[in-house]
Amino acid sequence: MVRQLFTRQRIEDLDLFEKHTNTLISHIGRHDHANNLTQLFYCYTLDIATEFLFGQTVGSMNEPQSEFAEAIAEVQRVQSKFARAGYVDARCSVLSIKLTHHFATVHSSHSFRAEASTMA
Amino acid sequence: MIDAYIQSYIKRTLSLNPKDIELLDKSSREDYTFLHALAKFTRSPKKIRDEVVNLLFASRDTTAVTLMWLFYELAAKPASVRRLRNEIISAVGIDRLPTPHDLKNMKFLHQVVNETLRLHPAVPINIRYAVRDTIVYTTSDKVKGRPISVCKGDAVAFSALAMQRRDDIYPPVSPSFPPADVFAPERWDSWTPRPWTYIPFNGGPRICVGQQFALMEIWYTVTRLLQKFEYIERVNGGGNVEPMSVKAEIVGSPARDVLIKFREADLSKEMKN
Repeated sequence: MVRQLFTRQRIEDLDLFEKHTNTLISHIGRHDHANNLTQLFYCYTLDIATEFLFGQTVGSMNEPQSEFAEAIAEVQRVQSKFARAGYVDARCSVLSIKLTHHFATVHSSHSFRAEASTMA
Repeated sequence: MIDAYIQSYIKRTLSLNPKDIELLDKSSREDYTFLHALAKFTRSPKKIRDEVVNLLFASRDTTAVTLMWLFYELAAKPASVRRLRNEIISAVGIDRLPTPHDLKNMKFLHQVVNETLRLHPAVPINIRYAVRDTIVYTTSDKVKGRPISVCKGDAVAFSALAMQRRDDIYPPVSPSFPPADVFAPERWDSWTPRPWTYIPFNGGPRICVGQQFALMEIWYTVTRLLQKFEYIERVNGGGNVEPMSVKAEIVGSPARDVLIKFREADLSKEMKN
């Protein structure tokens, strides 16, 4: 189902990339500044993925501590612990869906974090 | 929290009836999103959520870590940076926006990305389930080439990370083909991997759906950054010069933060040339 949604028109919409690449470049410091590409690229690809899928970006490059970005990082930490603990029966994606679903009612990122660590 | 965020978009999308969505599609307006297209296939909020969450997770980190590894490796190969930048400048100049055609035709750019994905496949270990009873033949010394039986439903784990660094499945080491564990984009000048010896996106019916999108995103990003910057340098945090190890969770990320210095190209000088 999803495969046919990756149409040429959608894949080749370079305006989408340009907008975020511009933001990325504006965050890159020159003059001997050590840029943390780990942080920058995680935000960059999240901003592109959310705009591509929802039509609106979460804008995490400009606001890296956004609740959404943190929640995603948390789910991934927990998910990976599950995978290593041997619960690899389900596909990774299924795991993340279950977890996001589990967290759906937990709104503040604080209680979210507490919950995640007890689960792991 | 993530669910709540996504649900608000799904709700908005499903509030439109299929006819409206069709109209929106025809208008080719910018607010016709992936979600709208998905809603043409299914009206089930759960199905839509599952697909979207899957794509969000599958696309975001894999692309991010590939870009990190690419700049980490490239920063230690000034000759490759120069060659790549020359290719980019001669194809698109210093400030023109690249077109899909440009991006698809930059050979060395592809080599740099392919080499990054060979040495650092974004998903280092993966699993497939057997759809029927079968036998896997092996050449590994440890099991003396004995075949392994796999029953229907069995999980088979495999590692692109381990395989794509195996000297024994690639050409012998030579001046044009450095050892498999070395980052060398130039090895692709005259080399195409044999089928199934290079599988960063996997293969078969379940090959990565986002492959073309991901490649386009990476090609675009590298091109724009190297148009702007001519020099990149690795910063070794706290004097740490150990080679970067991989943190293999679901996605294989660099174990430490990738710190890079950029130096802007002197555009006035380049204009004259």
